[in-house]
Amino acid sequence: MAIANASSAPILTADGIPLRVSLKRSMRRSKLRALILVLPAFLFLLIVFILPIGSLLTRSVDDSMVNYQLPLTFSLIENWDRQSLPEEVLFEALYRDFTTVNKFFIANNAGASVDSSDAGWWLKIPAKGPYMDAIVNINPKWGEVDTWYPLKQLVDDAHKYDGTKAAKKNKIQRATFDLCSELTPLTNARCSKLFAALEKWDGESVPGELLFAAIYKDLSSAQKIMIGKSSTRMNYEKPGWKGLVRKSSRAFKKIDGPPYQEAFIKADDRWSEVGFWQSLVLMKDPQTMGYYLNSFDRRFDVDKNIILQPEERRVYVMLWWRTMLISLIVTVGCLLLAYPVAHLLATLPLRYSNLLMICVLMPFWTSLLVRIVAWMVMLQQQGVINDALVWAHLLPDENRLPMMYNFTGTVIVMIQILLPFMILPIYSVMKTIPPSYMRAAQNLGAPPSLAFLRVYMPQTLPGIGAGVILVFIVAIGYYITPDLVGGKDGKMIGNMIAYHMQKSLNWGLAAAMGTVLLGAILVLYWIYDKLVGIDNLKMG
Amino acid sequence: MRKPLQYALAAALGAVIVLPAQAEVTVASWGGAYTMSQQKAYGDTFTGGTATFVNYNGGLGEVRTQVESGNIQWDIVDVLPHEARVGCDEGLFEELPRDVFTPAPDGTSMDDDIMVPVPNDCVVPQIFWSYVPFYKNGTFDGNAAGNPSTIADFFDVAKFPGKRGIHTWANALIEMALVADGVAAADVYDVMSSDGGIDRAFAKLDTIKDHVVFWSSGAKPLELIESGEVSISLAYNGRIGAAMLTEGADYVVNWDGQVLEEEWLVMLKGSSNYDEALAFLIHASAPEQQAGQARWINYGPMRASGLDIIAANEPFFNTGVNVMPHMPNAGAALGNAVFANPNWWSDNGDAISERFTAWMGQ
Repeated sequence: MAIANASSAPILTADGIPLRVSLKRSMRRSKLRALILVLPAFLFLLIVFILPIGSLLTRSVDDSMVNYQLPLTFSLIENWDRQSLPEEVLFEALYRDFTTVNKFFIANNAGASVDSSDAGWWLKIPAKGPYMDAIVNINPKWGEVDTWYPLKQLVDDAHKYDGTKAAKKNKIQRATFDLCSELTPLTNARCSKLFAALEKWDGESVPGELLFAAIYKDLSSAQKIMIGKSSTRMNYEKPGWKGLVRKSSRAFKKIDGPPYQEAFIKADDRWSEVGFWQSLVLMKDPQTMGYYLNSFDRRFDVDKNIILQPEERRVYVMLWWRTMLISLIVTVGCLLLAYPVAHLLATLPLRYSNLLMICVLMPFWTSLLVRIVAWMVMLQQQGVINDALVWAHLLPDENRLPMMYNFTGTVIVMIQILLPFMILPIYSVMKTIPPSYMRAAQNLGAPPSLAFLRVYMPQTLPGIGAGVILVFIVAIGYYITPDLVGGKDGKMIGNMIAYHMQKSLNWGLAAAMGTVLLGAILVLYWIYDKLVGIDNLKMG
Repeated sequence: MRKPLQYALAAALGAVIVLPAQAEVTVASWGGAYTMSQQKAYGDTFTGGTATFVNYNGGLGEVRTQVESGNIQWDIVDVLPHEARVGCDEGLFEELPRDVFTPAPDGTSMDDDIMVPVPNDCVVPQIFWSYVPFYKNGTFDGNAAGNPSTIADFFDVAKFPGKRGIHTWANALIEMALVADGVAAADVYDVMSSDGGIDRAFAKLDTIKDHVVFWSSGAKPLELIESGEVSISLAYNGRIGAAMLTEGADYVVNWDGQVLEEEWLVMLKGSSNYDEALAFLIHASAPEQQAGQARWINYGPMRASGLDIIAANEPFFNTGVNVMPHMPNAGAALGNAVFANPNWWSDNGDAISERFTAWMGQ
């Protein structure tokens, strides 16, 4: 009983606090300390890694811009039979979507879920004013002080900003952009007229014509940007949209009433092509799988069936396979070259192995471009290797080997660049294998080859695994090297991603391809885990 | 309406990179001899502040990122014709007042002084440059058909043996293939828009496919010609000119069928140096400076009055030689030239680019 009593009474520390509490407290303190140490790394990861990947994923399916721009058209296009020329009402809807700013005043504006029977969509704001009554009729909310007040605050905050004159000027400029991004999905539209009008407003009295005129004018210019961005997007779906929209936008200004169909076709006869209207159907939802399909040479037809792209545009599947093939060849090539070198490094006496290590690391210390150019000098058809072969009469002068600006060139240069990534993990594992194991195996009667296969190599597997994964994953995303030496058939998927990021500005497609690449790497990692086990991975 | 993710990102980046207050204008351009010519002609003569040149690789990817995140590092960018239109449409550039720019000496306004229609209010004229074939003098000595002189000869590997250097994208190649196939320079874009027009261009490209070496950076074609890797190559005319005018290289340029491209300056929207940047643009687009650039590189000024200044002051090039014969947009060079149509390319560029990539890889 005494024992039971003792155990139920709390154990106290010297200063009388129960041990459990004291222990918890000190544990919490050390946990907190650990957390603080980890925090910078965690935040760094979050900001530079996790958030961008999140943004990549959203962007690859996002189609909200064009849905925001063409809400009426998309809500009415459901009723169209998708085969014949659309009726007048669809032309009118498109006309309104392109020319009126009603969409910015109506709260629920999410693409096809728009209620087109809402009279607000069809009210016309007179281009020369008065604006107030028309806008309040579209959405009564805009007659209230509360709707305007948050905007006023943006202006006040900018004015309250304390800093150098230049910094303040910049702050005010940013505020004009912030105003527009409150009202539109754009971050690069400027609402400076509204800013000026809000400066004059006291924030309490009923909003007057001045504010409405300013907001109308600023939103009209924002609309122009929206049209520009949407037409870029629409052009991905069907080449020609950009020109059609550019040309028609000018003509739209002269249209002042029905019949719209006739006026459209008079402005540009491409409006009578059903193909353009059919492509609208495919952009109707704020989320799209179109970019993913595109990155596999597929697309939706008008009934949302998945079909192949026209033959001459099929390029991505070929590039995916080529990327995999190049990465595979590079990985195997690196492995074959790296294994003996790593073994030599691990077994040579220190003074020689140090020298060899410097040779291995040398490429790391040389600029990537310098190395690539050096390879160009070596491998091109008038290059050192071909010259030597011709000189030695191993090759007739007119049949010089094409080793640069093609598949071969890409593979050779990539192997050289990625070799250290294979050598180092294998070397660090080999370093830990005692040489006595091989001697013991041979002592016990194994011929050297068997001893190597059964005793030495299995122990190097973790290093091989690490090297293979490292090289493969780095190789799969390469694009600078293939761009410089790839020439006709050495381009990889990374080059297409870069092209769509920088040149075509099709970020949706670039994001989709990036996501597929990420997915491919995760799948490979998973396969590796199943086959070999991630625990067996050793970097050193 | 804000995009929280982007804002968080922009805020985080903004917190890391604290920018000093700048009074100088940052101009993003293509680097090399080209940027050097801008530095000499515009930068060194600019009195309204200092202009710093940075290099970029083209495209609007970075511009769009800067403008949409509000973290603007560049004030002015040197852009290709297609980008000049897309960027203005998408609201990435400032729309500029047109009456502040320097008129020609005879009073013609800047926009009317430009040799092509001005596409929008965002752009300020820079230069014309062109894709053009060239070879080393003597390459075809003893050749039965003599020296190549037309774009059709470039596509004729039977008569003019040797490999051909071409770039790894489709611009200008489609046009050249069609001109070589017998289409008049003025009709090229009509044919390209018609059914089968593009097929026809690719069929022509097929005829040289097995004899092609691809290049992707501007310096490469000169190396290819120098090393003898190819017998004729397409190149940017300014690169050829730099070798001929300053290094005395003995090249022959075949202007027939050249494809001329525009080059514009634009200001990033939301630039915090609006006034200084506008002052720089006014300075850089004045006829005097337009001409001045040709002292350092043989790209053609976009303004007719700029060309007049050069013609009146020959020998104009800094080495004391005549530069007019090397201008892509003057005299005989214009005989059978195609002015690239950026509107056609902004409609069809992506589709053609995919097709071209597929064609290269086949």
